[in-house]
Formats: sequence, structure tokens, C-alpha cells
Amino acid sequence: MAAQPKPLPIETPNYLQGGGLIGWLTTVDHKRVAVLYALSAFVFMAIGGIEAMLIRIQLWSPENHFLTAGVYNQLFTMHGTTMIFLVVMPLEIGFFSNFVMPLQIGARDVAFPRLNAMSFWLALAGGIFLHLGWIWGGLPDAGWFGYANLTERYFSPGLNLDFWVVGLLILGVSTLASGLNFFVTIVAMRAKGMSYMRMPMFVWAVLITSILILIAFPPLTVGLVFLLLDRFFGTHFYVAAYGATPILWQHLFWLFGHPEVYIMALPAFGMISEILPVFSRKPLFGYPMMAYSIILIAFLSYGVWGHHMFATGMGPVADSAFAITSMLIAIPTGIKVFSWLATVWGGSLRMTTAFYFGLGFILEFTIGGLSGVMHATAPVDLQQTDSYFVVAHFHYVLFGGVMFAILGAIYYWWPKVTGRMLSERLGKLQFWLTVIGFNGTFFPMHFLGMWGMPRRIYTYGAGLGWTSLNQLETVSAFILGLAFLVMYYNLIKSTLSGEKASADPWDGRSLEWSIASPPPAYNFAHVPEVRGRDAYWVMKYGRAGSRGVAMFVAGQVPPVPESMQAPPTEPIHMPAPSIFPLFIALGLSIAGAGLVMGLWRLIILGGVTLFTSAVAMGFEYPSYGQEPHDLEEIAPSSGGIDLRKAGLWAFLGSECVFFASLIATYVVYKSRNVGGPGAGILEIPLTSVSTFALLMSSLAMVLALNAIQQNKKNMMRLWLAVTISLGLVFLGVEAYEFAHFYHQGLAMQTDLFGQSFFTLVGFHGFHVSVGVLWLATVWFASFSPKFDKSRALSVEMAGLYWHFVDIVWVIIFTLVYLMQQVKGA
Amino acid sequence: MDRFEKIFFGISVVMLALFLCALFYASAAMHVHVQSSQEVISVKPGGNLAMAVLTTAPFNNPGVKQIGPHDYEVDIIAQAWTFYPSEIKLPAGANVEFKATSVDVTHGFLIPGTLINMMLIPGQVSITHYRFEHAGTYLLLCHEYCGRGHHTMFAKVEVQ
Repeated sequence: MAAQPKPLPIETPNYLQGGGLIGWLTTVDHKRVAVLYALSAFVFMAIGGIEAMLIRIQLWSPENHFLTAGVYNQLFTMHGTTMIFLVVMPLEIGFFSNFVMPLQIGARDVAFPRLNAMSFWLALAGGIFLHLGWIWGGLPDAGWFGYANLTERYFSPGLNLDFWVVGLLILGVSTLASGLNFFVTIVAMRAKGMSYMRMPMFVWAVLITSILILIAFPPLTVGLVFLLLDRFFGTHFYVAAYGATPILWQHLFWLFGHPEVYIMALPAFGMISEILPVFSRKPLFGYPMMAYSIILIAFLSYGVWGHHMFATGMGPVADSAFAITSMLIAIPTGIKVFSWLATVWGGSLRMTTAFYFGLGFILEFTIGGLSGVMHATAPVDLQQTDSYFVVAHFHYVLFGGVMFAILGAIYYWWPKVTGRMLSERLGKLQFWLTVIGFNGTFFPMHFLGMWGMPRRIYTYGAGLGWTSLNQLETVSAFILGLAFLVMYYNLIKSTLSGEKASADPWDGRSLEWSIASPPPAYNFAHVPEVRGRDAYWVMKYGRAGSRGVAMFVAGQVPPVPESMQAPPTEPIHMPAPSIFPLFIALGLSIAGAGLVMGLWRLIILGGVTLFTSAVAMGFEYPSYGQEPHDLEEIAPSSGGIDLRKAGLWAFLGSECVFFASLIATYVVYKSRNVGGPGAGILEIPLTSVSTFALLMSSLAMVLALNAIQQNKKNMMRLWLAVTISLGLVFLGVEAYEFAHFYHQGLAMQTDLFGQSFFTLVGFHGFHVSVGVLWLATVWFASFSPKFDKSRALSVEMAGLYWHFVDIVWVIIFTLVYLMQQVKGA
Repeated sequence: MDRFEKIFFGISVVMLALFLCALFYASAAMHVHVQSSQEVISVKPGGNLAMAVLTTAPFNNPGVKQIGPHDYEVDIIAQAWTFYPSEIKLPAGANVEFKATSVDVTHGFLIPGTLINMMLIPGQVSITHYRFEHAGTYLLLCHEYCGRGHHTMFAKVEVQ
């Protein structure tokens, strides 16, 4: 697998051809990965849809016993989890972002193609994990939000929630990797001339979504890790009987959960911003405001999680604060809605299916947005929390908004992906069925909610007056189901015998339409130079400027510029295929299965597979983007940022949030702790020594980097060895400390202090261990004769990580050890 | 500024003013308050939450209590999947303080058609106030998903 990247032959087939099964399993081509994502998402979409149908059949009549209560609870849990994590996110981020974004910025692949493949295999593994309950122990049944403390082992003893926890953790890793990948791709790999303010709006959306992912997923990971520890190792993070509070889960979950709403919504906004201008033949109205409003939405989305928790009794001050921030989000969102309307206004419209869905999106999403403002108002929300009104609201946002955008995007980009057109006739049939079915299903829920029908109830009484609207909803849901059958039929028919698509069937305005449909593996034979917003319109019509071009030439589609489709004149380096992404996913899944089954041997087998694959992947050298000329060729606008370094910085940013969540938990739980040895057990003199050792190691690390930059290899090895030894001293003291505490009666299971202390300090220790392993790997690699000044970056990367871990320790030491003493004195 | 923009701006200002007035009116005249919870059930670490609830006042004696001429306190225990007491009788027009807590998992506390909507967190006492103006039978529902029997968890409030 570690072959030299082979130059592609001049006559390259399109990306879908060749390779066979092995080719697909080892692919690192962003377009193939995108197609794999789409395939899995379409399967999961069918499963999630059938789950919704079964829910609606159960609610057809009062006191219905079509399903048992247990099965019903599993279905609504899996419907939510599936649609969010296995359908919407894979379609938006895995499929459309992956396929379209590199094409729109004029790149030949994403920044880390193997990481991208790994994201997909992990996403698939996570999806399968969540569904293992079909054959084994039942599906998860605590709701997609999994509110503590129902999820504790005592209340939910089955394997089903174990699958849920582990599956979501795996999906979290996958999503984080995608976010990091796309962030670096957009920052560092745009074609020449593609400045930020020339990027297509979809690329803007993906960029901001990636940042949201990097910051929003760590709190979920922390929440899930606590749950995992509670379920498997007897801690009490969410157990009220130990003074802990189940509200911790709600805070961590919604700190993730509300940005997650925008992780789903922003790409949808981006897609709509691509579709509407093309079919209106006008540039996007208010481009700068559209970009800034995305940024503003993302920023605000971190301050609004509390509006999911008005009913928990946070008090008037917190409720008011969250109410205000939540209402503020309506402002940038309103800007977007009006800008979309202004884009369409006065355009020369082409009523394609994609455009239908675009218009439908504006209407349905606005309805959902308005009921969202109602929820933001705390006193109003108190009549709506956990009622069917909420179900109506978020389906208007997530289906009327996000799903409409996805459906429009399918009709818009399908010709580029497969090289075949979808049937417009079937498309419009699907659109009208969708609109009727969707509104019929979800609009009556507003009324049911106001009449008192709560969410997530298995059945309801006959005398409550809820029956007729529920029956209307069920009938409409089947119409909606029929709409999706039409779509599946259309997709299959198009793939088998659809009309061949030209390179530019819509007179597109962004770069993906400048290349063949389906694109060749290398995307661009000649990396284009971008001369303005709406890059491809400018290329075709030759006129740039903020007023756009298309309105002057409505009705005529000029020929595709020859230069874009000419075969490449020189070999193009493309990343070599790799099997290790698949193995990494396999390893993590095996380890997860071992954890659920309680088999240590499986955990070790999975861990070894994971570790060896990761190391093997690291040494699969040279690979894409790591040779200087590759970088020049692929990332002309990188402005000197190395891809790997940019990736590491993004990762460290995400890690900050991870540790912040752990530290916040520690601070809260230390103050709630009763009994037990408490923080008085900590020994500052001993830990000061290890802290000193760790700080000195950072100095040694600086000297090591300095040495290799001056090509002094032996000096570098010496200072690396010093760094590693000091790291080991730190770990040794920590191990002694842990053992000592354990003998004095403080274990993770003892009390609130014990569990939050061991989790925080333990996770830091784990990071130090990874750092030591990393440095040791660099140390061994330095014995290769090829290792010289030119590889200084690999030392610098390890060093950056090492310094970060040290800084985190300074914070932990101050907060956990020193401040404890101040308080005691 | 464009004429339409001015009109639009004017409408927005009027709407904002209206909403703020409505909010103040609701808060001052209609006594709409969001609930806040300061009271907790203290348990010794590793102890039994249910026992702690049942031995802590007022939950050692749940039910309706008259605490003034027109003032009532209702103390309710939520347990998967019932409310205790499951039938509550109150006079119309009285000021009622609801105090509720859970002995096991997180539950909900909703009386449709009123402003009563709370989440019951284990270890925490949720408090809300309400005055039933009209006689009738009200439904008290658990609306926070709490497991297999969630849909069977309800109680009746008779207002006479």
C-alpha cells in the first residue's frame, strides 16, 4: 500500500470507473468517499423513515397496541438518532461537503484524504453499532437526547444503551475528523484567486460548520465518557444519591446539541444559497451579509443551550439571559431569509425541481424559525416544553428546512455526481407529495401540543380529543413516505438509464460545473485561476463585478471554456489508496464491541489493530501533500500554512473545549462533594516536583527543535531523550500518586471529588502518554538517514502537542492543587 | 433609506414595543414567573434517594395542605410511573404552591391548559405557583420521557 504515488495516465477515466471492490475499500478519493457516505445514508434514511411510519401507525388511534411500549420507545429513539447522526449529517457533511466543496474551491482532494476515508468507515461502524440491538438485546430506548439518569445502568440495565454510548462516541470521532479535515482544506487549499470573499456560500457554510464541529463535539464526548464510566465502571456522574446531578448531562448535551442544530442547518443554508442564484440567474443577494450572518449564527449558537432547559428551574436570571441570546439568533437568520427572497426577486426563473425545493425551503424553514422564536421566550416556552408543539417546531426546521435543502441539493448536484440527469417529472411529483405530506404531518402537531399532548408517549386516552388530528398526521406521513419512494425510484432509474448529463446542465456559476460530469479522479486537469465571485460565470461570460453577469445573457448558455476540459499536459500526483483507514475503523469497532461485551481480549485486539494501523499509516510515506512540490501544486493559496500544522492547531482548539468541559465538571462537583477524603488528600510538594519536571521538558523540547533546525541530529536526539525522560518522571509520579490515593480510600467510585479528579487528571495523563509515544516515534524515526533539517516539521508538530499538554497541566495544577490549598487556608 | 425600508423599520419597532409590553404585562399583572429551584434533597453519599425523599419534609407527608385562607400547598412525589398522590382536590380561585420531586429518574410535571410545566430532577425540589380560576378536571402529566411506562404516568387535579 505504501507505493509511490503513480502519475495518472493522460486519458483518465472518470472517478467512478476502475479499481473494483478493493479500489472502493481502499479509496481516498474525496468523491468516492462522498458516494460511499451517500449510499450508507440512503440506506439509513429508509430505516429511519420506516421507523417514523411505525410510530405514526401506533399513534393512529387511542389506546392502540399495534406496537408494545418497549418497541415504540426504541423506535422514536432510533428515529431521532438515525436521522440526525446517520442521515442528515452524513448527507450534508459526508456527501455534499465532501464531494462539492473541494470542487468549488478548485482543489484536487481534501487536505487529509486518508483521514477522510477513516471518517467514513468510522461513520459506518458507528451506524452499525447503533443498530446491533436488532440482533442483540434490543435497540437503544432512552431517546436521542438520552437524558440522565434514565440512562444509568440501574434504570436501563440492557446492552442497548451500551451500544448507543459506544456508537455515538465512534460517530463523534468520525465527525471531528471530518470537521478538522474540511477546515484545513478550506483554509489552505483554495485555488489561486479564491479569496475568502469570493468563496461560494456553500464553502462558507462548510467552513463555519467545521469550526462548530470542532468546538461542539468535545462536550458531547465528555458527557458520553461520563455516562460510559457510570455504566461500566461504577462512577456516579449522574447519580443524585451521591450528590451529583443529572442536569450535568443536560448542560453538556445541549452545549453540543444546540450548535449541532446549526451544524445541520448551516450546510443547508449554503446549499440553498447555491441553488437559488443559479435558477434565478442572479448573483446571491447581499453576499457579505450572508457570510457574516453565518459567522454570527455560529457564534451565538454557543450561548443558547439553556433554552432547552427552561423547565429545569435555572431561575429567572439564567432564563432571561438564554431567552435574549436565543432571540438574537433570529436576526442573522432573518437576514438570510430576506436575502434569499431578494435573490429570487426579479430574476429570470427556471422552475426546476431543485428550485422548487429551494422555494419550499424558504417557506417551511421560516415557519419553523418563527415557532423557534416562540420557544426562545421563556414564559411561552413553559407552555410548550416537551409538548408536541416542540415536535412540530423542530420538524419544520429539520425537515422543512434541512431536508428540503438536501432534496434540492440532490436534484441540483446529482448530474455532477453520477453524470446522469434525474427525471424532472418525477421530481416535481415528489416535491408536491412532500409539501402536502410534510405540512399535513407536522402542522397539526402545533395544535396537539397546545392541547397538552406530550412528546414520546406510546399511546393516549380516547377522551382527550387528540384522535382526529393524529389520524390526519398518520395519513399525511404515508403521503410523505410515498414521496420518498418516488425519490428512490427516481435515483435508481436515473442511475440505470437516466439521460446523460453534460458538464454544465444548469449554467452553473461555481467551479464544479467547469469540469466533466462525472469528474475525473484528479478533478481539475488545470487548476483554475479565480477572477471573481461566481467564478465560473465570470469565466464563461467574461464579465466580473458585484452586479453579476447572468442577468444580461438570460436564456443563452455559452459553451464550456475549452481550457477547463482539456486533458492534463503533465502527470498529476494523486494520493495513493490506503487500507489503513478501514483497519483503524475496524480496530475501534472491535475495541468498542469488547467493551460492551466485557471481553478484555477483544478490547486489546481492537486497540492493537488501531495502534498498528495508525502507526503504519503514519509511515506510509511519501504520501499526498507531504512532498514540497505536491503542496505547491495542490495548495497554491495556502499562504505558507502547512496542512499538517493547520490540522494540529485545529485539533488543539478542539482539545481546549474537551479539557474545559472536564475542568468545569471538576469545579462544580468538587463544591458539591460531601464526605470522603476530598481535595485535602492532594500533596502539593510531591506534585510540584512533577510539575517542575513537565515544565522543564517543554524547555528541552524547544532545544530539540532548535537543534534539528540547525541540522544537529545528535543534539536533537539528546534533547528529545531528555524530554521523554522528564515526561516519564511526570507519569511515574502521577502513577504513584494515584496508587497512594487509592490506598487511602479515594477511588473513582468513592465520591464526586474522586470521580471528577481522576477523570480530569487521568485524561491529562493519557495525553502525556500519547505525547511520550509520539516523541519516542520521532526519536526512532530520526535514525533514518533521510531524517534531517527538512523533517524539522515532524519534530515541531510533536513539540506543539507537547507544549499544549504542558499548558493544560499548568491550568490543572493551579486549579486542582494550588487553589484547593488557598481555600483551605 | 428606501421607503420600504422605513416602513419595514417602523413596523419592526412597533412589534418590538408590543412584545415588550406583553412581556411586562404577563410578568406584573398575570403573575407569570419562570420556576426556580433552590431546594435540594440531601442524601448521604451512596444513600437511598427514595428513602431520603420520604423522610424529608414536606415529602414525608405528601398531599394537599391548606396553609392560609386562600393558600394551599401541594406536595407531590413522582416515581416511575405514578404521581403520589394521584388525585388532587383543590378549590377554584385559591393560590396553590406545587412542590414536587422525583425519587428515581428525571420526570416531567405538566398540567395542559395552565402555565404549569416543570422538569422534576432527582435530588432537587421543583416549585411553581398557580391559581386555578375555573372549576373542572385537569390532567397532570409526566411529559419527560421516563421509560417503558411513561405514557401511563398521570394524575388528576379536581378543581371545585
